[in-house]
Amino acid sequence: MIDNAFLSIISVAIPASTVVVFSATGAMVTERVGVLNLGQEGLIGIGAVYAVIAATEWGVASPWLCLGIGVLAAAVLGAIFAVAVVIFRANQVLAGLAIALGGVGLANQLGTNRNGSLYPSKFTEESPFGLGGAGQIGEAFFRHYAIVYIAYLVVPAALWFLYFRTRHGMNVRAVGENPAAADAVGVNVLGMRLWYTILGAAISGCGGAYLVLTVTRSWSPDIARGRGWVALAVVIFAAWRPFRVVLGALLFGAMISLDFTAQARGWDLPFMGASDLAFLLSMLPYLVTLIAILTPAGLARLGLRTRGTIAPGGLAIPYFREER
Amino acid sequence: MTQQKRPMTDLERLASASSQISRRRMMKIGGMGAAGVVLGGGVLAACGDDDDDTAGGATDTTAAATDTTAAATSPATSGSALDAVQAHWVYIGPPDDNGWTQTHDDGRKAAETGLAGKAVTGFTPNVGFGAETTQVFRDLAAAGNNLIVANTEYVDLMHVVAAENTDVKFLECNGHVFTENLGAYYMAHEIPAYLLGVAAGLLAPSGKIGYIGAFPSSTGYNDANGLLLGARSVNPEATVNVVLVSTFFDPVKAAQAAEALLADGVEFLFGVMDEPTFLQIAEEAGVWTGYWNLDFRSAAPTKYVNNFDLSAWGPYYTQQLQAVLDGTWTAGTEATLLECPLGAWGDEVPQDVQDAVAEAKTALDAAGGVYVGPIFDNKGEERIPAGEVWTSQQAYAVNFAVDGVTGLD
Repeated sequence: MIDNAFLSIISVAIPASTVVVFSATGAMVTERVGVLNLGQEGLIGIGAVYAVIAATEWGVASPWLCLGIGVLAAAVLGAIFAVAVVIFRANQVLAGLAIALGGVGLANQLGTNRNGSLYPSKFTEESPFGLGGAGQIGEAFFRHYAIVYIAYLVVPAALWFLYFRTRHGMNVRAVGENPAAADAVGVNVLGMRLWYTILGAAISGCGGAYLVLTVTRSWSPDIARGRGWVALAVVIFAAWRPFRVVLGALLFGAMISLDFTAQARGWDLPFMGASDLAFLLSMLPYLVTLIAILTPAGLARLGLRTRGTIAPGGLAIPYFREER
Repeated sequence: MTQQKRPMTDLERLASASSQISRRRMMKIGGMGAAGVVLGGGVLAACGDDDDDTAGGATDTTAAATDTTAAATSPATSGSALDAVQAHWVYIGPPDDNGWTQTHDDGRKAAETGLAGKAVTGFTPNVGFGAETTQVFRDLAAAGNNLIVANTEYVDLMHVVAAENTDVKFLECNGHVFTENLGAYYMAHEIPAYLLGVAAGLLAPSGKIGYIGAFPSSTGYNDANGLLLGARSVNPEATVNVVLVSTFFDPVKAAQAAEALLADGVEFLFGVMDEPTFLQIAEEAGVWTGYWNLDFRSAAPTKYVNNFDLSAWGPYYTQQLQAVLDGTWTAGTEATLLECPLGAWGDEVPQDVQDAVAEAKTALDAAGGVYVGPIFDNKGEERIPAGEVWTSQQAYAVNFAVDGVTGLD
């Protein structure tokens, strides 16, 4: 039991936000090569439902294997999207919406008769280096599922290194910023876009699989419940930086936990009853998201435009070599 | 015979959307982009095609329903006996939700079986609170249904259709409006909430009870108040901490709410959620728990306490269909509140707790209700004076949280 309210909020928000962390990271990976994938809701749904199918119907006992199957399914959906927008140069917004709606619908279809079904393949919480025993702080930060550490530390660290410390990463960013220039120096633009769009979809799908294997512990329709859309906003807020993505996603989750902790502890304000406060606080995550998106634009107007707040130059624009 | 109807799924919407998209795109930038979208959408649509044949649009199934009516009976008029009754259920969720809607669908099936051959029933799942909901009701009324049942309170989305179709009878679960052809029904669930509260008060040494609610409605008040009053009857220190998540169905939010309550030290966790996430979390935390709709001990094998028993839907629906058949159906002027006992005890619940609850039930019957005055709300105001006992009808309209409930006002 964690008495400190702040630590309590954080300890609840960390696992709950992990799905947004994965989805936002996946979206960022995709957007870094200039492809906008709005289909996050669908990718989370497909990743989740295949993890559930693996855990129930196929009897896969290892949660890691279930996770892998979910990731693979999302990658397949991502590949369809990638072929459509990179090879056939379909409008990315429309194709992305198709993935979002179609993915959710398909996931719900596949999930019929699996509502609330229970399965044994679940992750267990780990405490790295025994840090989970280190008082309330240790309990808040270091008593989570192994995959949570992967989402919050391993993946962003790897991506940061890739983007900002390797030549390949520079090429990746170049493809997103100015595909024509990248093409001119011999970078395989279409190949990169294809690969990173599929990789991004796989990472997003990992969020969905994580969700059903840890947080919810069962399938339910529309499992993403708008978290995929929040992830897209988080990417903008985070200015396409791996660790900022993690922080943005955590902030969103912490806002929801703040709401529930306030209610659980019976907090109220002199001028506002508990129920009204609950409604107000339940608005907060979305309000914060809105403010987060508007902040870079507002700063730009004040002449404070910084390098770190600008979207990749080639984002959402199909690349035609002939029009170069 | 059972007709399945349901609104267009996202998948079908996608299929129709992608064809529109492709036409528009075709005109704008030529075939390449269109091919991409069609490929994306088309492959998806193909994946889901296997079991989508039954779905169809609302219009298709409506047409089919009209045919059966023509064969079965002429449209209903109040007071005349029928040879057969056609009834349709509108569900807020899927009929296999392992929760609320499933209990209603079991009731529907029981009614159809009970009236062997004289009742034709169907259902439309996943009807939310949108403008298209009114159209669903209109279509069903036009399809010649004698009785339309909604398993949640759709308020005006349904009431306008009832006003337009006075020859069709309407029943609204948890409804509060009564006209010639519109009635309401619900469970007197403050009673099992009280009994569960007695068990919770005995099982939780600190008396701290957590409740995950959806909205500040009389359902939430009766759950929280019932739990509190029951727990206070055995432990004067008992409290109920309410967390409202503004939905019946979001496992991630339910998980966060459950964790927040557990972090606050609750020793009994209950909720109105339509999915078992919080049960599993309680089990893992070693905290006693219970479920609203049905027996879900599989989600918390060692910590399951009990659930509300909603099996009264079946007999009620059967009786309503029979009344329509006989021509004796009336909407009534108040909600029919069905008896709602506790279900079967969890495997690990001590015998003395079960006995104590049985005694409490006897005492409750003698007292005549859960709300026995004097009762103060959680702002210190007296709501029910000493010597007064509320009936279930009065409880159905409760709009305050009793002293000891936090998070609800």
